[in-house]
Amino acid sequence: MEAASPQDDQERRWIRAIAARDRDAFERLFRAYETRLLRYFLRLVRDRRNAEELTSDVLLEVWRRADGFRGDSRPSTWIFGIAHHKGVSALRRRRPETAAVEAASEIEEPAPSPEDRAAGAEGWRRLKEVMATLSPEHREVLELFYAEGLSVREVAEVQGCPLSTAKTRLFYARKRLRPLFDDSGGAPA
Amino acid sequence: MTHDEVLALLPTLVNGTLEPDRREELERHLEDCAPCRAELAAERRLSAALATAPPAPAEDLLARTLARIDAEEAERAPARAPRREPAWERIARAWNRWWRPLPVPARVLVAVQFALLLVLGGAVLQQPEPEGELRTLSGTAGGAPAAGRGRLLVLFEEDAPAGEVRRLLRAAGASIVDGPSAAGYYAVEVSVGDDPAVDLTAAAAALAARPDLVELASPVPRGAP
Repeated sequence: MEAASPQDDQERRWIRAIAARDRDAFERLFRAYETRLLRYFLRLVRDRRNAEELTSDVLLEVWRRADGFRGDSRPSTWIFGIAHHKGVSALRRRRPETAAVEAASEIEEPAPSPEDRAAGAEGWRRLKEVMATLSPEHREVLELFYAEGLSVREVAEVQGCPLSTAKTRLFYARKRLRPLFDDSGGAPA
Repeated sequence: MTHDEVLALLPTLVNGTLEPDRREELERHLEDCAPCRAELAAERRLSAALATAPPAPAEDLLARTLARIDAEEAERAPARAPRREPAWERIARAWNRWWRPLPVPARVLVAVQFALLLVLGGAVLQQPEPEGELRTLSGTAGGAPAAGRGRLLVLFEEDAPAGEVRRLLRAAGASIVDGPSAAGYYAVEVSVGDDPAVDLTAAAAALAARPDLVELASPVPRGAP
């Protein structure tokens, strides 16, 4: 387990309180995670309506299972583990209908405000194009490692795969994205 | 630390998961290595692009989730707790197991004796029994409470939200051990100390302090039938 931060300690207290059916604690945890989970699901399922539903599903599951959280892992690893299972199930249900390769323009990539996006429009377009070519597992690794700050070991825990698999996925996904971020690459600012 | 080792570790430096001792070593290398510093800058741009916050979730997402929780809690309300088999059903089952194998003459004899018992018992039951229901429920659920536990009889308001009732019970350290009776009473147990009567009175007062949820909370004296 990674070293616990003050934020981890706070979240542990909230989860203990949620296990005792404390709604205030649930609302605090909800506010701390709703945007993070929404970004995670946007990156994974790439559909805003589904992403919001899944965010609600995960936090409802946290309410249901809070008394089962033993603190063996960080709260974020536990919560994204739940999110992983929800996301995988959603993708499995959806795949037969969307077997065709999705066009990059249809993919919802988490992005800042329209103004900020406009400032680096070309970079964002290229980022979306490359993300569209990655598998959900690779997009998930990027999200968990770079956006959520999980260690590779924690990523493996969330994805339920060997450490070596998580390392390989990170290496491959990073290799695909990395050229966009050269000095001359026109990457998102 | 070699150049390749540094490059391999840069992502963990950027996402904050590099161990402190390796971090120091890596930072020393970066001071003297311009290509690695350029690589670090690119790695930071990649990380920043991926960590960009998405547009805010729908404003009512929390409210919708809380509504789902309310719906689940309502399903688990005390009034809908798994039905306990009433005592008379348990007696009837035991009776059938014992009665059926008997030969016919023995069954006739038992039936006559049973009829006599009913007549005598009916006469006894004619006597008024104040608070009969309360007394009966107070003695169910495995007899007297265990050591360190005391029992209350509680009548919840008919339209009390289940979630609120659960929270109230939890806050009072109380748990339902039986009920509802036909009149809607629940047997509720709490932990008690050296003076159970004082603790039970305090627990009853704590529950009765929510008249919107609790119509009546009454301590059951130890040894009550």
